[in-house]
Amino acid sequence: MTLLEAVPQATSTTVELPALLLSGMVWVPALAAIGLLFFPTRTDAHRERMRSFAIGASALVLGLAVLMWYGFRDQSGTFAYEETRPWLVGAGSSYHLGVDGVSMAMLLLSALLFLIAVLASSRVREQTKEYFVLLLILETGVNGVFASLDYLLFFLFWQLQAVPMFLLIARFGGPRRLAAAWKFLAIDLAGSGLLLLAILILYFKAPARTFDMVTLHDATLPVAMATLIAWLFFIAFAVRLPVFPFHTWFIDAQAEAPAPVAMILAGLLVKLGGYGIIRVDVGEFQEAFHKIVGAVVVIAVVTVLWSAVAALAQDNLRRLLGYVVMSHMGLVLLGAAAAVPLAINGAILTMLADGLSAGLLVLLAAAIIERANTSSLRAMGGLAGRMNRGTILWVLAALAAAGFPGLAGFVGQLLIVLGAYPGHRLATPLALLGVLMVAGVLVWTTQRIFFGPAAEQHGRVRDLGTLELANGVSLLSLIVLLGVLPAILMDSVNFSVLTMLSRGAG
Amino acid sequence: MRTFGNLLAFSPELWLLAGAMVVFLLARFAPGTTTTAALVALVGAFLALATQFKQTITILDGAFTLDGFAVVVDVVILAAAALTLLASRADVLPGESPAPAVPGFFLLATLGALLAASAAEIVSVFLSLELLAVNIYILSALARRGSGAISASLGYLALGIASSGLLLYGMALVFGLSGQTNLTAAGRALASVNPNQAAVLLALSLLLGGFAFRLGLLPVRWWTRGFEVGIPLRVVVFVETAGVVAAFAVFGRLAVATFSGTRIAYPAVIAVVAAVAMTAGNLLALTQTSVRRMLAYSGIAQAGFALMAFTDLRRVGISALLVFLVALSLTGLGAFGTVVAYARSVHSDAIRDLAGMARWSPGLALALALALLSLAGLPPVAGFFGKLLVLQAAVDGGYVWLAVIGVANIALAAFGYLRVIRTAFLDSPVFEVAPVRLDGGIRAAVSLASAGIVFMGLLMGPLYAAASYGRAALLH
Repeated sequence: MTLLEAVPQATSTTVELPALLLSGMVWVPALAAIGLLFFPTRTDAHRERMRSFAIGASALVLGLAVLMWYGFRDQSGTFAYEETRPWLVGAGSSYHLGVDGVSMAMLLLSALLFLIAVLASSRVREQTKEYFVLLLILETGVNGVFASLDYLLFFLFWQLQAVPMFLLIARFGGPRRLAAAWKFLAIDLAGSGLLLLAILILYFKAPARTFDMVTLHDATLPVAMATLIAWLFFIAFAVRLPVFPFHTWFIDAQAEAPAPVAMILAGLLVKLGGYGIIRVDVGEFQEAFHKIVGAVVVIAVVTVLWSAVAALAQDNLRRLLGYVVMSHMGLVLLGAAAAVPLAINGAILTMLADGLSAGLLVLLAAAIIERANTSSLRAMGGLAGRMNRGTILWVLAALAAAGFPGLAGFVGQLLIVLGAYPGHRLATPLALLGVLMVAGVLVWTTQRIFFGPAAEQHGRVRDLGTLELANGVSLLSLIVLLGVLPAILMDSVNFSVLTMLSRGAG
Repeated sequence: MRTFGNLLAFSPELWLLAGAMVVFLLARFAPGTTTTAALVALVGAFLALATQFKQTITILDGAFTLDGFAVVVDVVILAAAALTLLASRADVLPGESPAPAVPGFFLLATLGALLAASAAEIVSVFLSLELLAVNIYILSALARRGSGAISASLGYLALGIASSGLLLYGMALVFGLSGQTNLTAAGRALASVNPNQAAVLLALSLLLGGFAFRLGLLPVRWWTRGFEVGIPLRVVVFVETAGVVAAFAVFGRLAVATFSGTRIAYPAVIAVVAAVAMTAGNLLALTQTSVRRMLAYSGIAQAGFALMAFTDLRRVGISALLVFLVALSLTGLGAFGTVVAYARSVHSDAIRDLAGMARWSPGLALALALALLSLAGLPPVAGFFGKLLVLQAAVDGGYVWLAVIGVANIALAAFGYLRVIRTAFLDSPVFEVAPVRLDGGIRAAVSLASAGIVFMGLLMGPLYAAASYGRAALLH
């Protein structure tokens, strides 16, 4: 017997090929990032080649996501594409991946937005390699969180996002990037610390010494302990969401990050907070979450109203979009807190729709700011005559974000309001007020940017280029598709939400 | 029991011994080839270890036991020694002519570490630890880097002798109380004959005092003086990786075989030492302005953290310790390798002079950042897994307060290390530095260590299986 044989081999589990699709979605970006390290960087042609490679990798991930979704629609169990491998055996943690309807929909959004982010990153001229490597590592972190069914794994992927995001803001952002990046890092690390604390308390207090989400679902904990854990999870996720008063990192980062990164931030990273609340707090700690729901609803309503007022007073276009996203996430929180199938379906649909429309708005805002040479709304005006394509795309995206019927945002917001109203008869109208204010702000902003007298200093403004247009149209077509036919995603989401809620208390 | 019958099973050690002899001969006739010859000997020893080992083998009437635990530790020591030698191949100052016999003493030190990992008797424990220590005294004195090296070496010698004295007192007490020199037999005797408990506690305290120096628990970092003329890289890295691993292996075997059956509350003693070492080490590290001193003091905190694993020896403690030591070796190599290389090129080891490191040598800065994150124990790099398992061991052993102190220390350390990373990556440089030209050896060693730091999380399955195997062998 040699040394290698002496080491007990991990018991081999049979993993069928379809299961590897999920691992592929998580690890293909990381592998591509490693591959990218070996590319030469001297000339423009080299940089272009790196960008093509990154596009190829993220397109492959999107392909895998679509393939998974195609095979996913006739699911019956709780989780599909499950993959379990022994990993940290001694600590009771395994490499356990799996998706349900909720995470499948979020994975599709993630794969799409990352592809568009890479496509939109044509302006990165310096340190191109570093930029794409960081972006791809970030994608591994985001997809990993959506796919994890093990708390430790979930936490590791969550934590994996902090440093790439920090460096992306700190090295490629706007003039005040360093302050924004440090703020993001400090708050995000604090949130991760709470997340780890919650996970460790759960781990040590549960009767079964394991990190596995599915196993821990059936564990019974003392009520006080479960409430504490639910609180810790909630705060950790709510910081990301972001809720008032922990939102300033998001607004600053939104204003300073490069446009594709800001799109990922608004379209995905904050959605992870909502996903976490729905997956862990609502799905795993239903009873404990029910105890803290009063506070959660108050936080949600304050978040919606605060961001609506702040958006009204905001002159910087990108900060304004940050507040718009924040108000929608406040509404998502309200939907999650209602914990009825209708509202949670609405919360998930709102996250998907907002991911698409906010992504589009952020990209368009960056294009507009670049052309108008200012981010101040006061200094803009009359761009409609010079940017025909941009105007049309912006108007449609703003309508989608405002919840215009026929576009994706409407259905989600309607479902949240309908679902939450019976349980929260005061909070829901208040939140609705905030949402309407945000819709008004969006319309007013559109008017201020594109109509009225043209500002003098604009001179000749280029319209959107072909690539910008293609990105915009692809996002927009999905917004329309999801608005007209939400059932294509929502059937499986609904199935999983019902399963999640009916599995009872954790 | 045959005395020499299974001697061939110790072929890794024999390889190192033969390699050292060959190196000493080559030093006379072909002085340029000694480092390569030493590397070949290390690789040979590694292959011998991987193929020749069958089961638990005892030689010299039980003086040495080559069991699964020793094999796992040996793998770590040999890998650390080989990477250290590779990294230090070109560690030569301008005008310095290193003694060609240096790699020979290096091999002998490694031999001492390997023997220590399998030593099962009081006498063989002492002899192998001394073989390790004496060769380190020689290596640091052989640096021929002026009076700084000589005085540092003498200081190390004096402390080493003092700690050996404590060790001998402790061993004498164990022998006196039990009448046995074999560690397991002594433990059985101590557990059954019900000796004076205070004396057993005193023996443990003396042993812990003697080991404190070798485990890296004492704030005596002789090599931090005069970094330009002081102790060469190979000694620093070797002591901080292979030396610490060997000392922890011996102490682990001693604690399991001799003290875990006794009625004294040995985990409580160790828990207090661990808590003090962690906190003091991190606080001292925070106040440093030199990055080398900061790493030195953080070594104390790491040793304290590793001691936490001893609070749950009978269950997962040893597995946790082994994983922690693997992470610690990788991290030590990455951290000290990058810092020493960069400090040489900018002629300063002040933290503030790391500013601009990311611009002048991005690869080195990245390796340093990874090593520091791992030292802090931040996920998802190697240090996190080691610390997680050790924390789990402390909680399982019933020492929740110790685990809480451990978590607080992680936060404390993270603060200090993030400060250094910020300087290296974001502060604007004070002066311009030519990109650091690294020899291929150190580049390979640091790259391997960095890759290990990044990917250890992915490899935790087989790694933990190996650690459990070592634990099972030690506990029978």
